[in-house]
Amino acid sequence: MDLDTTRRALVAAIVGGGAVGGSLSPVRGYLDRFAPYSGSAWRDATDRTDRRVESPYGAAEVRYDDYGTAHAEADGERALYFAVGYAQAADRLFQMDLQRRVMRGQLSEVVGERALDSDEFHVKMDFAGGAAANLELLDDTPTGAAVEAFSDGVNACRKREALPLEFGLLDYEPDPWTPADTMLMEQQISWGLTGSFWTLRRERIARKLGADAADQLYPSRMDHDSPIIRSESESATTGTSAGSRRTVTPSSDFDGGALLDWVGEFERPPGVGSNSWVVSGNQTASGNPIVANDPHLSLMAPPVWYEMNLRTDDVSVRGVTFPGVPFVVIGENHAGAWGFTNAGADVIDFYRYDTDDAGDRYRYEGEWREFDTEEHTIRVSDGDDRTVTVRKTVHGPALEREGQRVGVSWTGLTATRTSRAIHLYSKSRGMDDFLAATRKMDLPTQNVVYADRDGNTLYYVTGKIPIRTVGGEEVSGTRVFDGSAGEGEWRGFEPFGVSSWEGFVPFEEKPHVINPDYLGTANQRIADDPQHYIGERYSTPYRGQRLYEMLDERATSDNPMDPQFMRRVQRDAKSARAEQLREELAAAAEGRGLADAADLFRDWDARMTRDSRAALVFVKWFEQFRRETFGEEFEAAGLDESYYPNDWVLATLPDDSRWFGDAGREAAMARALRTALDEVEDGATYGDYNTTGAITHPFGQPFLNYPAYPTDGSAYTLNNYRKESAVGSSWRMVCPVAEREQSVCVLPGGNSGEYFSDHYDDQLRLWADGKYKSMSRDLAGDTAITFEPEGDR
Amino acid sequence: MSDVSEGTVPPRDDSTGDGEPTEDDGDPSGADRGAVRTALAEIRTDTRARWAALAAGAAAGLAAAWVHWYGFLLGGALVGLASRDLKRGLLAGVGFGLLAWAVFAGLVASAGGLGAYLGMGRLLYLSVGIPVGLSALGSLARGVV
Repeated sequence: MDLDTTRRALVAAIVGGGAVGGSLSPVRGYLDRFAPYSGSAWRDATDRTDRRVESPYGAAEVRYDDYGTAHAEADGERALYFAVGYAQAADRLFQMDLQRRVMRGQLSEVVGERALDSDEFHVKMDFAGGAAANLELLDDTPTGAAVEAFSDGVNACRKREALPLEFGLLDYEPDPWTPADTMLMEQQISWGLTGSFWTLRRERIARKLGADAADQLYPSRMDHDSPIIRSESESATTGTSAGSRRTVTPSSDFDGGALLDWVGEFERPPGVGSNSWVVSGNQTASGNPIVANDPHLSLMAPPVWYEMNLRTDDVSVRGVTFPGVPFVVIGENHAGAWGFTNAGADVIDFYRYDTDDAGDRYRYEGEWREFDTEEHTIRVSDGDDRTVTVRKTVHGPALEREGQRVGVSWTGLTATRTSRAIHLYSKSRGMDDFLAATRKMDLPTQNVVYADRDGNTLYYVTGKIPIRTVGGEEVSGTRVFDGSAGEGEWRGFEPFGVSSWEGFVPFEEKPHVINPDYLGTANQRIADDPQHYIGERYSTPYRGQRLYEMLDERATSDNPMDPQFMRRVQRDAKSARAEQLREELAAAAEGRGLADAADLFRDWDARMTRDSRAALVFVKWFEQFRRETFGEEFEAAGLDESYYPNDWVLATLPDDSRWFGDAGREAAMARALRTALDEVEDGATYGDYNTTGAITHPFGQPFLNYPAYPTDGSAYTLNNYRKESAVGSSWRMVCPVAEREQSVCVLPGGNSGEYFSDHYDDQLRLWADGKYKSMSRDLAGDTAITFEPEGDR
Repeated sequence: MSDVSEGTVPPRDDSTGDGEPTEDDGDPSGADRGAVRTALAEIRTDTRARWAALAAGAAAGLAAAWVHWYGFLLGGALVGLASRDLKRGLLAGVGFGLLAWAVFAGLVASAGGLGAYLGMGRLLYLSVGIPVGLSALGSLARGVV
């Protein structure tokens, strides 16, 4: 063999080896995904949405305005919702698929073992079973038909359009969308608002710290005077016959252990809340009511909300929905405007059981019953599949781990009419229609505010609220009940079926106010003495206090309210928490050689604004103050920071409380301040810390995250942004009813989830700066997609 | 990459920078192979034919890359084979990879996503590296034929 032949053979081996290596090795995954042109990650980068699409439901049009809001128009509802499905999928298909995978427990199938705990939880809760039950109530209804048309629209887009980047990154293709998936979206948001394991946490706290400490640090009612409904009047109903209700104490025989550590990861995020208010025409310059709403949900890229403007011959409605849901959830139609905040109601209970030695049966009302048991396989990408046993009792799913087991009743696990209610909101012609629709809203428990063109205003608590009894007496839901004895169970509740709801608070007995002059909600206590137990995990009153302070001040001034004032309220950054503590903090600092810091706080207006140094020091100080007060003892008890009492409780603990140690409260405040000052760089202001950089994409790929713009606001201001947990105003809306051209709104990001779109983050700067864009119901933008009846092409 | 090319380029090829075709080395594979070599030799020595072959190779490679990344290997190989020697072939391969990437970036730009694309960090680098690397690898075929 001569040298030349050897050389040729070598080169051939390099070329051939490279090609074969690329085809067979793990490198192939990268090549298949990221090679220009053919790579699955790039499908969406060079593709434009089709301009003409056939629809089995008839003609429709979708336009996109300057901010990527979809404006859809059709003659009939089914044609409209087919177009809506297509547009939502074009803009948010990956987000929709990811969310249903989370709720179905199918995340490991695409992301691998790291999602197994999540999948196991969601499979055992059987959210998919609850969603399927919902469909029973949609059969042969206009809402059911609209949901079907919507699903068909999603699937038409899934087939015709290039898949978004994220599918390429994970290297999979989405399954067809089904009406049950839309029901799952309803469950997801409802779980995010009401799925709380606080009862289990409280049981653990009582065991670790003692009942007295639990009562002191986690009072069933915070001592403040700014509930949502501030006075009883003819128009307000909170009920007054509270005599037979009592608060139950923890059972003290539930530790939680590994079970609570596991499920605690999947409850509603801390700090989820919202602001809304409604002001009647008596208080406004125009004589028409105004509705304002900004729900505080998880902030992420893309946003949790999708904005759309819909029109048929009968309906004109604009607002936001959750991707995967066809109907406008919060918004304004031709007759009125509405918004939601979380009511804080307790709609989840837990039960323990006597079980036999084998653990296959549980005792219930004197007899042994088999658990309803099913084996479920969780598929795992690049790993072994996992089989989990799903068990259920008469109360609902049974969650178990390492010897601990509880049965769970949650109102989201039975059939609800919520989709019908939301659908009817779009078509409502005034307050009577809106009330009739609200009656159907079984889930979630929300404060809804509404105003119509006729000048009516409304506040109502939505959702089914269970009545629990022990020994015939109505009790609160704050203990793990004895499920074997039938204690505390909900009459008329049928998990994974259709409930009769007979043992729930009647609609008329839920707190409400018809035609309030003005009313503000910020997740604070709903009423001082409601007829039935509603819940006890209300937010601290800081935002509620500030909201009523601003509304009261304006109402008693010579200036009537107007949309500009509403915007100012919505972006108000004054912290009632800072006002409550800054004088005391300044005094504590002054006496301990921290005079500069004392001056800083005395000169401060308590506003959490980006240019304020005092705001930054205050936030850092409060973090340290919590640790100074609770850190040592809680750590010794095995309780992490998530168990710390809320800031109102800390702020109002007496000076000599044992939690401050022997030196007392002021000394603890000063110690915390020294630590905080060490942590804050010279010259730094709140805007250096409080940026939109915390708003990220679930993938953790830096390029998919949003840019970091400085912004105002904190957890305790109306302008709401909780940088630590990436929760905040997920949609801001101010609607002067009957003056639709003045309605405004903004999203924290962009309306498109497509990374390559101009509208991926084009509203973020507006949001960070407290600015708005138009929310007019006029159709805007050039026609982007024309839907033609099948056979016309 | 340069190590590979330098290590595999024999002096004889370097010395045939004038485009002199490599004669049949006595391999008994027959007339077909000889005909291919003759055709390649003609292309490599005729400037117009060479440029035409380079353009055709690039077009074929791009078309193939549209459906599979093998297209970069193919395109690299075709432009490499049309080159006068291995070094030029390698340069042509890298050139084809860069051209392919530039066309891709142009397509992304025409869809309005260039700014977003340029901000993608590692994914951007991968999307540049893949066509350039594969095309260069394919162009090494010039060292075989």
